[in-house]
Amino acid sequence: MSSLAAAPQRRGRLARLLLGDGSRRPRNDVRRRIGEKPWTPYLFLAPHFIIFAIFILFPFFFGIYISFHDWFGGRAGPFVGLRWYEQLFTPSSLQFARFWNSVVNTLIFVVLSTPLLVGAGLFLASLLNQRLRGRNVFRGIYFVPWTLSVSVVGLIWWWMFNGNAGFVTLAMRDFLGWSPNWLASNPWAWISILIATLWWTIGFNTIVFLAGMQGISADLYEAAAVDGANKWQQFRSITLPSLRPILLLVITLQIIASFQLVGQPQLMTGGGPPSSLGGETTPALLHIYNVGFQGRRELSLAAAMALVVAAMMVVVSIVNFRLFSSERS
Amino acid sequence: MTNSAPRRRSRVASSADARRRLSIWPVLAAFVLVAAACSGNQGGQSAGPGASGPSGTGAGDTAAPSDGGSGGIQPPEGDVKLTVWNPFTGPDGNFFNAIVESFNKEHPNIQVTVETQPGAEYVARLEAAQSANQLPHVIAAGYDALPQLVENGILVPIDDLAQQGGYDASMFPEAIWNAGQWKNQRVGIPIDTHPMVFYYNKKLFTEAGLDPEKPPTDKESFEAAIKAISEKTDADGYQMVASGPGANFLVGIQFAALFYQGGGEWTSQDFSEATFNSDAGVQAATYLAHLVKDLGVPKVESDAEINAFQQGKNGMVMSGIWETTRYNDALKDDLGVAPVPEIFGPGTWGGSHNLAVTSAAADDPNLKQAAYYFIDWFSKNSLQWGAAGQIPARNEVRESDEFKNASGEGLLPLIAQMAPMAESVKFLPTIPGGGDLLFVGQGAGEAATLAINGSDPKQALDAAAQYNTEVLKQNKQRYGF
Repeated sequence: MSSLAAAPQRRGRLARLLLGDGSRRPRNDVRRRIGEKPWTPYLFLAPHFIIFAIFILFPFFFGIYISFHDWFGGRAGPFVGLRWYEQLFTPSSLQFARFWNSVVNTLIFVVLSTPLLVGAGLFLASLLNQRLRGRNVFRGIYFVPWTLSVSVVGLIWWWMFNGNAGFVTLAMRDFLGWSPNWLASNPWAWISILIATLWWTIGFNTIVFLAGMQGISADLYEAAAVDGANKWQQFRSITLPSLRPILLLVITLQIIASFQLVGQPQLMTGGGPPSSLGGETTPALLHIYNVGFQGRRELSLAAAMALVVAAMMVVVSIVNFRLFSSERS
Repeated sequence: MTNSAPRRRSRVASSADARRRLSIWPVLAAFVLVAAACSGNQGGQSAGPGASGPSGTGAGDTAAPSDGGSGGIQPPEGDVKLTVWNPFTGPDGNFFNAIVESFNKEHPNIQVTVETQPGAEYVARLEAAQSANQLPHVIAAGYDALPQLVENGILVPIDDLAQQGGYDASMFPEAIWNAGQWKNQRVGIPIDTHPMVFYYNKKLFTEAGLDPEKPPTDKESFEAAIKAISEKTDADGYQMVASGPGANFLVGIQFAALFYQGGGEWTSQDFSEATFNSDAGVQAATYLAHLVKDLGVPKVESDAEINAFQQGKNGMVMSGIWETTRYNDALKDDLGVAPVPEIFGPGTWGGSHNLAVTSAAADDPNLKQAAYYFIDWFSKNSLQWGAAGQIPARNEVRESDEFKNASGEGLLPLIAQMAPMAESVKFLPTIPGGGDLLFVGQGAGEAATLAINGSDPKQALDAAAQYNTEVLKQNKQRYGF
């Protein structure tokens, strides 16, 4: 990671992060020298590409195919054209209100969680980048939750927040004489989900930021210190600008990750508090899951919903990238 | 401003690079695809907080089924290997295995192998097995799953089994027998029913000045018990689920019981219209809301009421019969069980497991014979299935002295106490998606949950019924019923 941050400046920032620096070598010479065939690189790419094709490319196009048909209850059905898309965009249809309610819920979570998780990750990384005793232990501690599966995280925080025997609920009742109904009323339900998500995923952002920070030359800080800049000035004028490509990466990944919210509300609130629109914390992906894999299993309708949400994610990612790359500091 | 490197960097990455920057879009797109592709499975059906489904119960004695199999269905000639799938991941799986073990001992030429599959993935695994040509020969499944499995070609009708074995409505409670039927064909032989029953804490009853041997039987005594326990003990008299992952289910079964008690029908005769917004439905949802509004019953998250009852903090609870083991372990002699109080009349919600034959056994006469014989034998020997925590469906088993006078360790004595409920239990229509009327989003359970949270019961039920009528119309067309 540190080498990425200091990579040459040819490509776009994100491209450089994802694809490497792309510096040119006299390729043919090298090839001849090591006996490389022209198709050798493709051989190296093949293992991943095959898995990518089977598990992502194929399902994606198959999903598009299904969304134009009427698949339900575990069996294939006839071609129905745009029926499901029409329903999703017709306000009077029975699908409309619940689907868009779940999309709005997802957007609420993206808006709330992205600044929080990016900001907290940056903050933690700055702390962990200091010279302090047991630094590696702390780095480990913050990263460990990220290795857990969502079912474990959901259960842990359900036990913290549930209204009957939740640790937080009981502790607050004992010490404050009052506790909100964490999982059954808003804004508390969203706050519980945010706390669980923060605890679970903060380690990843922190580690990425930390790697970026370690790639910043110490000379810059020394020079700044000589000029009399304090810590905050150093952070604003050295750390932040140097981290910009990393920041773009983390924010993009964070938005995508937040769009994918599903397990925490599914396990902690069940999508509730209940509302006539299908639950106040039901995110789009949970709604899609319920439609496609519960009860009647309306797979085609769910596929159409998934594609609409995926299209939104692409748009948001593009906007986000444009915003960051057009800015000039 | 000591910073210059990044500034330089951004200037370099200018117009000439715009074209090359395009090359990241496939990568970004890939991320989004990964996101979309992965999201379906995250969270999945993992156990979640507590348990809200009929997974399992059971304790105590191992099974020793009595001799059977002398009915009309004869065992096949020659050696047969039969595979049976069941969804019994709880302790009930052990009882099922024990019954099969004695079958195998008794019939050296028919060897039955049992495979237990997780209930949440049961249908999906059957579908996968179907496409891989690996279907088992016999499956145990809830009645509500049968029509869809028949339509998808996984199960086959077994009218001839019923005929050969002399199975008819006289051998089972009528509702249980009818639930195993789809498009006027027999598709499953019922082995049990698992109704919602009424549990109470005898110790709290005594503390509250109530007679621990006289559980409430009607509206007045039920509400009096709620008040007495709430006022005279530290515990709640009753708790009402109002949110959480299991809310639609846990509220749904209470709604269904009251709905049946008021004489409600889920759909019109021809399944073209959802009718749970009838007076019986409104009455049922209104009553659940009334408990919260007028009697001060606290609203809780799903499963909280179950945990509180176990801990002695909740005096009464209506739960599926599969919770008996849990409650029995926690409360021991303080646990009381009884039929659901007749708020509006007799009736309760329930499910029913059936044994059914798959298309894998349909073509080979010997396999088919073995499958029929096994189902017949299991039905006759379902007394021990009662020990697993479910009420045996077959009348002669429930009426046997062995069952009625069951005593000692294990669940059988408790189950025998609850057995009369098998007569009043009712079911959702046996159609594809029948369970959706009650349990999934925009079903009656969700409408009742909204009513508990203060929505107008009639409005909530009307909206849900309107949606389900649309769904029924669509499904009638899709499945031709």
